[in-house]
Amino acid sequence: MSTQLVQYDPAIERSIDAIGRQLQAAYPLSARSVALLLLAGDEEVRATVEDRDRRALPRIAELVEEARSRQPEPLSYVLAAQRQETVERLLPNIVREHGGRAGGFAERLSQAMMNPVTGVPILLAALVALYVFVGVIGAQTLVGWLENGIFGRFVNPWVDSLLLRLIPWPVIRTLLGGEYGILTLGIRYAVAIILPIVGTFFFAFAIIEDSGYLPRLALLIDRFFKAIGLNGRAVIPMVLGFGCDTMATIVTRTLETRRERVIATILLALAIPCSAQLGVIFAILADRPLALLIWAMVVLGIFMLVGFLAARLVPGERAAFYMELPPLRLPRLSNVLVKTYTRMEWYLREVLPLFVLASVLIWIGQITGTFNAALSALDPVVRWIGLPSQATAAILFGFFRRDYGAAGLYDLRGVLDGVQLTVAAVTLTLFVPCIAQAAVMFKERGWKIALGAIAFIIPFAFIVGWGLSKVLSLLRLPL
Amino acid sequence: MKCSMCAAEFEADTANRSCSGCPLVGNCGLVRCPSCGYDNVPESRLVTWVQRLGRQRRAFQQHKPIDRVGPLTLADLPLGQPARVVGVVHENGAGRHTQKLIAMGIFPGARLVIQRRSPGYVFQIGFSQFAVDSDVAHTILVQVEGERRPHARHRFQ
Repeated sequence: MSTQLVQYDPAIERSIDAIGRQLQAAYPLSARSVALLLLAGDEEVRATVEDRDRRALPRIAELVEEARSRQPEPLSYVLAAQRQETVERLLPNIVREHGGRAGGFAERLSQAMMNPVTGVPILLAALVALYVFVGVIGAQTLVGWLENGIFGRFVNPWVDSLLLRLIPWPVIRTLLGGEYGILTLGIRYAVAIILPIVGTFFFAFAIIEDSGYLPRLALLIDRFFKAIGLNGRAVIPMVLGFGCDTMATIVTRTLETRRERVIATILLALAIPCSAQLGVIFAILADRPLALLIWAMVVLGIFMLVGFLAARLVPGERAAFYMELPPLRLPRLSNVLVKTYTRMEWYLREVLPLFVLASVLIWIGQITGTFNAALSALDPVVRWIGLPSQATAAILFGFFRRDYGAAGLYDLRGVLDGVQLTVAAVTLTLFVPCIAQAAVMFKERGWKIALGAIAFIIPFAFIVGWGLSKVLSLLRLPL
Repeated sequence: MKCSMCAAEFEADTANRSCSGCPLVGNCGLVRCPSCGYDNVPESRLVTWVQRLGRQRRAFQQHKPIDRVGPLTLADLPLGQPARVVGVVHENGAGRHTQKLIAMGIFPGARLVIQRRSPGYVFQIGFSQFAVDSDVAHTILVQVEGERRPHARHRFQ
């Protein structure tokens, strides 16, 4: 094997040859590569070999064990170190290095982002900028223009009048148009309310992602996340959760241990409001700063409390934090736009069918009367947390889409007082993940954990709502 | 700790032995000095933490040599100190970090410079910067190499 670029220790080379001779079947890789991967303990290759060279497997396992016993360090590490040596030997003849990494402003800003003293104000500034962009430009200006301007004035009246002329049966007509129709409710919510908010969020998120800020933020809050059973790496799904919890639940795959994935899934479902929900809650509580503050503090407190408890209750080993810090860079507009578009396309494809499904379910529910039955079943619980009966529909809708509920609440602004609005906003934030998120929870975490999480979240949300309404009415704050 | 009565230095653990004659058997929250028998109020954790911070800062300013016996890990290096990797700890559950260390290029002979120690450890190896927590930092065995360089963080302040 003298033609090989990388020469390992003679002892390892002998093991490679011996294992290579045991392999009889055909592999897409050379026998040497397969042998190396077997030595390094690659699970996938082991499974392939088990499949194709079943009889040779015991002998191969023996050879691997023999090679392992000769080394004090894991074989995968030894092999990688020897490859690295070859690289170091080759590089000086080929590569010329110019200085080191550029210092200057970028390096100083990078350090400031990681230093807790300067990093926390930078984080707060970034959050305020995010709020202005998503909460004000997206949720208020764009939504107002699309919702009232396009749909309210043109699309909805046009659909209704068209249906009135074409379809003589009122049952089918209410399926497509009217108050809860597929076209007038499902499509309108998806395109006019959710798309602008989610789109602006994804745009802002792509800028943050491309600038290289996230790894530095991960380092900054690693200690805090360790206390709630996660590590700094979890900052990516958590921040993404403020855009769409469904997408963020899928992204929890990138977390290393099962324990972290479970805790992150529960926290996303419980205490991270998605951008659509955030937008509507900001709109409802905008003229009540104290109520907004109480809402934020309660949700943050629940996030920390539940995370802290979960870190003690969920078994498994604690994960280590390690991350590359790429240099800070100015994002490229074309890249940001492509990313935003890709995410929005995914979102629409994932979510639009569910909006339509929700409209259809409400339609079936109304025809068969189950909708009203569910409303009257939920009614006592809603009144128990101090809300009037009108809010029941909003809470029930909250299950179909997180923001359906909040949007329903938006219509009730005039009816509810400050305490009731705060309680409703908190309950809806904590309350069940939307159908899409629940489906993803089942798919990603399995039915046991998903059911367990939902069985915990629903009563918990109402208990917190009840406690909050009692405390707030005792305190008599001017909300 | 130091006795506030007679100024004798002693370990808080050894002081506990003198509790056997007392009916409270160590549940009083005080530490009795073994040499003069005075009941000291134990040092507050907050105060020791602040003192340690101050010591670290002074140690950096005075360019104090590292005073540590036994194998040196990444976590023991002062800021701006160039070092060479001599090995990696694989024992006692640290083996689960092996793949990460391979990915970061932490092999014997690799040169690195430590750039931050708080809120986590940041070091430069080759042209890449990595951030790790103290668990991972303690598994990287190093050997000091060359003079410490001033670092961006200190220019920043």
